[in-house]
Amino acid sequence: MSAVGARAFHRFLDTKPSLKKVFLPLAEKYKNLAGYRQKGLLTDDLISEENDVVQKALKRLPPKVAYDRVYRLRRAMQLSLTHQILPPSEQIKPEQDIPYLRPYIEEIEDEIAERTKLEMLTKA
Amino acid sequence: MFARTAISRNTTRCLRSANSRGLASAAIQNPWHYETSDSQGVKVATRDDGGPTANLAIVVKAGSRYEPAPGLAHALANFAFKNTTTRSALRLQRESELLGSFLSSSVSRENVVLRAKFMRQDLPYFLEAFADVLKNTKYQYYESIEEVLPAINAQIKQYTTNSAQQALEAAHVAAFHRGLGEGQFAVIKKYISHSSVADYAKQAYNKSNIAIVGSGLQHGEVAKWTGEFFKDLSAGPALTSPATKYFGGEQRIEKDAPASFVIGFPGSAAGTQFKPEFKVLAHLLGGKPQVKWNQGASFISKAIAPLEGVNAEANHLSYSDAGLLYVTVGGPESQLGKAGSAVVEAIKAAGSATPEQVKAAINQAKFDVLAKAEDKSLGLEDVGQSVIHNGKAPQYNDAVKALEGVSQKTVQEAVKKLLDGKASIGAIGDLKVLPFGSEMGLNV
Repeated sequence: MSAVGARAFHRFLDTKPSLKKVFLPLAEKYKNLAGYRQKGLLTDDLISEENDVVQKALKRLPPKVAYDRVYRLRRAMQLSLTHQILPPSEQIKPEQDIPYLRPYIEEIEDEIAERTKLEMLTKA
Repeated sequence: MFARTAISRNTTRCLRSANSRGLASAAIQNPWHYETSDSQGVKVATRDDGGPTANLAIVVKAGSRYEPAPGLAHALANFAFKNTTTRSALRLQRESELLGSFLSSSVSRENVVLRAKFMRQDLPYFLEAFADVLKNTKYQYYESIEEVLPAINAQIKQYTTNSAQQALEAAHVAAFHRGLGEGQFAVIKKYISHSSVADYAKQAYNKSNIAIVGSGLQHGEVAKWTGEFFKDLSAGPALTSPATKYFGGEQRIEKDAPASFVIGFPGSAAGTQFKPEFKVLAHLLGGKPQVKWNQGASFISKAIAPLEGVNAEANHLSYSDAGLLYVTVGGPESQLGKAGSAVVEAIKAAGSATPEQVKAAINQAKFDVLAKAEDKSLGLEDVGQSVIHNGKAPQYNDAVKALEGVSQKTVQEAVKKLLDGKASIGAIGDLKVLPFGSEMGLNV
């Protein structure tokens, strides 16, 4: 799902508390089963970076956050090559899995949307 | 995100209001007289010439002499009009374009100045935007990397290719050491980060450091909207800088670039202590021809006339607590040694200027003052600085009267004081050809 689609779906869920109550535990379960936390990755590490928006967002990360991201990716690559997972103490816990990249992506999407709107503006 | 209708509603309202209100019709007594007042703790000075366009400046007493670390004032000036919590930088740009206006910011040794030029009926929009810049700028990490540092680097590049400007900076170092002597540009960038600039902004952008200066605007309107938009700006303590002391000396910098040097002398501070004879003396020394394709009749013009390609010009800078009368000399390297001695001889000769020559210099200084008073965008910084420091706006007619009071005797005394005191010399370029003060016959 694209980042835009994911945001729309999140917003839709926010309007339906009962549906959210069903989806949220399921989502947590899925995240644990997907296995990336066992390889030391955060959910935001999985966002596809082959597009301009995410490239720009990556450039805007503070240096320490960007360094940590590269470290996690390399560690996960190494684990994948050697068919291993991290010892349980080093695996990512749900409370550590914070969206460090999504706020930047959303901000850039907002900027693009604002620019498009201002560019279509006509004198009334 | 916000709805498209919200943008277009606001902007079209701005555009509509342009047609509904006409120009100020109040009879204008003296179009260049500044009126000052205090609006919710913010100092406001305005004048109204009744014209259709207006200039607004926010003068902030936060120039390079007040910065806690090198470069912060320059960075703060470049962080103006960036993203705030209420509107993005892009939106401010586009809205000001729609209103047909110009926004700019600058830094000097004394002040950081935010400026806007616009049509007079758009005043509330710009005062609101300025208040927003002062109160709500986000100072984001990535904006400093993407926008602010590249802009600073471009300005530094321009500065480092201008020998005359660098020589003047060097003369300031020799003359004042710390405070006014420190560089006004962020040549050293290691202290600049989004958080250090945000900290400096918090210290600088408060009611005791700012003055709002308007030209072509009704005083009541400016005071009213200032009260409205700036009332919740923090009161905060004023920034301070140690009192300036004049040292004098020589600062020589070796550089593979066109050679240039500046000879500086202690001048006159602005404000109540202003000594008009220094301004007259700068015009008496001159150097810049008044008529094109002509050598000019001023002392320096005559002295450098035989030296082909040499240019030299005297100027006077007034700061809040000190001044610098200086001559910038540049030209072919083979001539610079002779040019230095010729300029010093010209300064000595100015000590015996005839009353007619003094009269001509006074007229030039008067023209300078009046032309500056007439222009809507020049001089706003001086007015703001004066209002911040002593609560009074400098009036052009007082300045003219002071200049008219200068006599041959006061000029002679000023020249004697210059030559008896220590000079400040800034030189940059090939040090082999650049003259030392003692070679030119100066005390350093």
